[in-house]
Order: sequence, then C-alpha cells, then structure tokens
Amino acid sequence: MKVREHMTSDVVTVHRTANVAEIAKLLARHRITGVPVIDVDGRLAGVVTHEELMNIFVPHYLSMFDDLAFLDDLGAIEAQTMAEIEPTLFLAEDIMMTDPVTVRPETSVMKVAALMVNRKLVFVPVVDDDGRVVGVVTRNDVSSAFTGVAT
Amino acid sequence: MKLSAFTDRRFVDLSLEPGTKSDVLSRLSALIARSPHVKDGERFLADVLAREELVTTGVGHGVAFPHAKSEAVREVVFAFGRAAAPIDFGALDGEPVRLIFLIGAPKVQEPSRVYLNLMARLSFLMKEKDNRRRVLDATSADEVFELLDSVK
Repeated sequence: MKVREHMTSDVVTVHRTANVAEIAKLLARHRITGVPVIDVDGRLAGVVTHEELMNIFVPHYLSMFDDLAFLDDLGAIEAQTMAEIEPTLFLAEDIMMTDPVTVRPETSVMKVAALMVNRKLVFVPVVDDDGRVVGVVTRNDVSSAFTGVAT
Repeated sequence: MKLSAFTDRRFVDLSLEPGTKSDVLSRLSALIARSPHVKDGERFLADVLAREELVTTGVGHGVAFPHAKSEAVREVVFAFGRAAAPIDFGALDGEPVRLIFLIGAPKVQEPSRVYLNLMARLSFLMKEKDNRRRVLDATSADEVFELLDSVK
C-alpha cells in the first residue's frame, strides 16, 4: 500500500500570512484537523493544527502537569479567547510547526501509520521532489487503508 | 504569568524618539539587545522587519506588536517604547502608532507557548481603551509594569 493510493489529493493549504481567525474558519469549514503552510512558491513551510491554535490560549505553565485534576476551578486561570485578543497578530508564520515530518507519494502507508502513532501526528504532508505539497495523509486515510472502510 | 518578568526597566523607553517605522524598530532592537537573552540586535531586527513584510503588526488603536522568532534570541523577551510622536506603522486601521511592544523568541521547531501566551496577553490588555490611556499617561516603567501584571 502506497501513500499515492490513499492520500487526500484535494488538499487545503494556507499561506504564511493567513491569520488564526482565517485558519480556524478553514479548519471548521472543511472539518479538518490541520493544514500545510506553504510559501509563495508552493513549497511546504510548516504545518498548523488545532494544537498550534490552542497553544496561543492555553497557559504555558499548564504543560508542566499531566494530571490537571487539582485544577477544578479553572476560572482563576481562564485563558483569553480569540475575540479578546488581536487575531490578525497571529499568522501561520508565527504559530506553525516548522520542519514537519513529510512523506512521498511512493512511501508505504505502514511507514506513515508508524510515524503518526510514534510522533502523535494528526496528518502528514505529501511532497514531491521539489518540496511542493501534492497531498496529505490523515489518520482517517490511514485507518481507511487498513480497514478497507471508505471515507 | 507576570508579564513584566519578560522585560526590564532598561528595555523600556517612554519617550522613544519618533521616525520611520524602521528607525523606531531599530531603536527598540538596540534596547532589547541589552538583554542577555538577545545575542545580536541587528540580526533580530532583520527578522522583525521580515515578519513586518508579511503583514503589519500594527493592529490598530495606535498599538503595534512587532515580533519574530529569531536565531539571535535565546529566551522570550520584550521591549516597550512609547513614541514621543505618532509613527506611521502601516497599521490595519490606518492610524499612526505610539505604543510599541517588540517581542522576541527563540527560533525553534515548535513556537514557544510562552511567546504566544505573552503576545495574546499583551494584545488582550491593549484592546482596552482605559489600559491604553494608562500606558500613554504613565510616568515611569513601574507604572507600565503594574498594569501589565494586573492581567491574569
């Protein structure tokens, strides 16, 4: 099983200049978990997922705790919401994960599945020889490839 | 999260000499370069200007948050300048800018949440007209810090 046969070719991308409000709307509209970020020449620059969006709002110090059970009253550390900050300030450029894991169309689906599980990736961009995005492999794509259930 | 922990009185200029956008960013970069967290003010400035080229950080209401992830920065840090006269920053609302927060972060694969939280909180504070007034009227860096640290 190759990525080529199971990837999502009709890929939604954003440019570095897309802001978080635009990205959030795009994720919601297409019901996707993340998007590749591309340069003006179409080459992959990074990725943004819901996690990168949440990183703006979730206080950094909470990352020190695995178990947040003691924080029953989260009111005291309520994060700001998008409406309360300046969404135009946060571009894909600012929040994206750079140097993401990528695969080629000829990569095996098994390799992508292992990468996703090992590195907790929600999708993996598929790039050609020039680094241009030709698709993405989502968890849904991989799961469907293994189970034979069409998406 | 005490916002003032990411800056210092030495990185605050309440009578910042006005000029062009790049003049002012250059002056603020020189201020932030006083921080041990900034290895090279000139390189940081180049990264800030490159980020401004993408989309202005002049978000409106006379406030700007120029920023960059940079190899010239070791830890998250910011400088603040209150320009003595309004500056054309190419802001989204077309209004000139007087309050400028210059924010730096290390260039790493996954942007620091500290950096993103800091920008979110500064922008949250400066969205309030009363808070902008307090910063415009402040007579010392400590007065600005007091306001910054009032945000939860």
